Amino acid sequence: MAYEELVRGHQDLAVRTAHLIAPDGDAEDAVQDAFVKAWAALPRFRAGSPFRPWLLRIVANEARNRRRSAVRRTGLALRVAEDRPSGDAAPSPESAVLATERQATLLAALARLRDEDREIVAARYLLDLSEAEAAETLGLPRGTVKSRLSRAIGRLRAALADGDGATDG
Amino acid sequence: MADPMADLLVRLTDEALADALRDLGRAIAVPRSTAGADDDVAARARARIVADPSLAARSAARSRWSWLGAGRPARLAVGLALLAAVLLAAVAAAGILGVPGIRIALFGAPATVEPGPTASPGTPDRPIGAGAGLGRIVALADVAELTGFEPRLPAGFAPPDVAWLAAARLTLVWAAGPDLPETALDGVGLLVTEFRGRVDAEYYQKVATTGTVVEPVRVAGHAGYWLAGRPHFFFYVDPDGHVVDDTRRWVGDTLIVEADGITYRIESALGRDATVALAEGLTRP
Repeated sequence: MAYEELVRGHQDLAVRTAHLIAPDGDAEDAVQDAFVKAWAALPRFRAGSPFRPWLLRIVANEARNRRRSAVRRTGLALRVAEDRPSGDAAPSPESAVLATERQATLLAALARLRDEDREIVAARYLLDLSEAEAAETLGLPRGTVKSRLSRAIGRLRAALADGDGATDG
Repeated sequence: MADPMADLLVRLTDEALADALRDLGRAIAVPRSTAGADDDVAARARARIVADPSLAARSAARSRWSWLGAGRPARLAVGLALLAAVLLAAVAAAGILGVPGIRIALFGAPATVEPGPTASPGTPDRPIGAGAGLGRIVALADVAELTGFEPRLPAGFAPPDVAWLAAARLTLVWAAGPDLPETALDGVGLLVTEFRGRVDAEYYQKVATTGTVVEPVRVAGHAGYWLAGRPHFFFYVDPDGHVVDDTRRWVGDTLIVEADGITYRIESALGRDATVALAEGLTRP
């Protein structure tokens, strides 16, 4: 089936997107539903526009629908070292420990962010989407991405500085 | 400050913090099955779509482009020249092309699509075109009765090596040879697909990468399109309004033309002019 091949090319990114938006939900389940909904919505896809962010937007909406209300997203975790791509291998045990510690600290701060802030940080940096792709994926006006990202980074810094600083406001 | 590491992170520049976040993005554990596994997410989604015809039917009913392919029969009377002009206007407006019974939608943002296991060179056990989702083998003599139309064959060619039928879609296959360079399908030199282009409901949708060139051509006075370049996907909508996902993964350069209510899709590696000439020579034996 051609559609299966088409979406499979975006599957890994879609699952990562769903997981970052709803860390405590079943990301694969959300993506599966999103792929089925995208199929039904295919005739509304605007010809000539990029397919990936269009698909990711459906994935993001599906993930949001599954999000439970929670202040802290406990589902976010680091991969265990042996599961990491070999390219990530650190040069020495000491720096590996440091890198993991740094990631864990950052992740803990990220998990305390409001959903809205975590989404924009995830889209632009964790998923490394372009500004335009992040805007479409999250359903934001393109001009909003930069300002929202800037505020979210500010709150991330606050969360790093003070363990509880980013859960309100 | 919570701890020295947090202190270190807070003092990073925005750029360095962004890099640290990108690094984190690669290190976050994501529960996932491996893409490409038999039961991966895409496969499970496909199984659900296939099992639930209402999903496809709903998709067709909502099509905002359906006027292109699903107009009333009276639209035919508009005449091919005017139709071509209308369609070219649609191209300019939305990147959509069509001939009666066909809808072509160009999808941007190429997915990483690798040619999968498709057809294999013909052997006694495995006739040419097998595995490419072309349907079942039929005798050429039976085609008219099975499809309701007389198939056309390219002039100057031997009879096709194999005739395949899927629903009412006929695909004639010729093996590659000295005069027929191989297409994207292993061992296949030429495919001629013929189906009734029901203007009411049946149309093709082409999902293509932006690297696909779409060029209007005239074939013996009929409007047609030449699609060349990057791989593309086909979908079409059957007479009941259900989106049908063509089982073939992708094909080579393609000429699509409609004549007398039948849509012809010709795929070869012969290049545009030779393929157009071949199409102009399609005759009923």
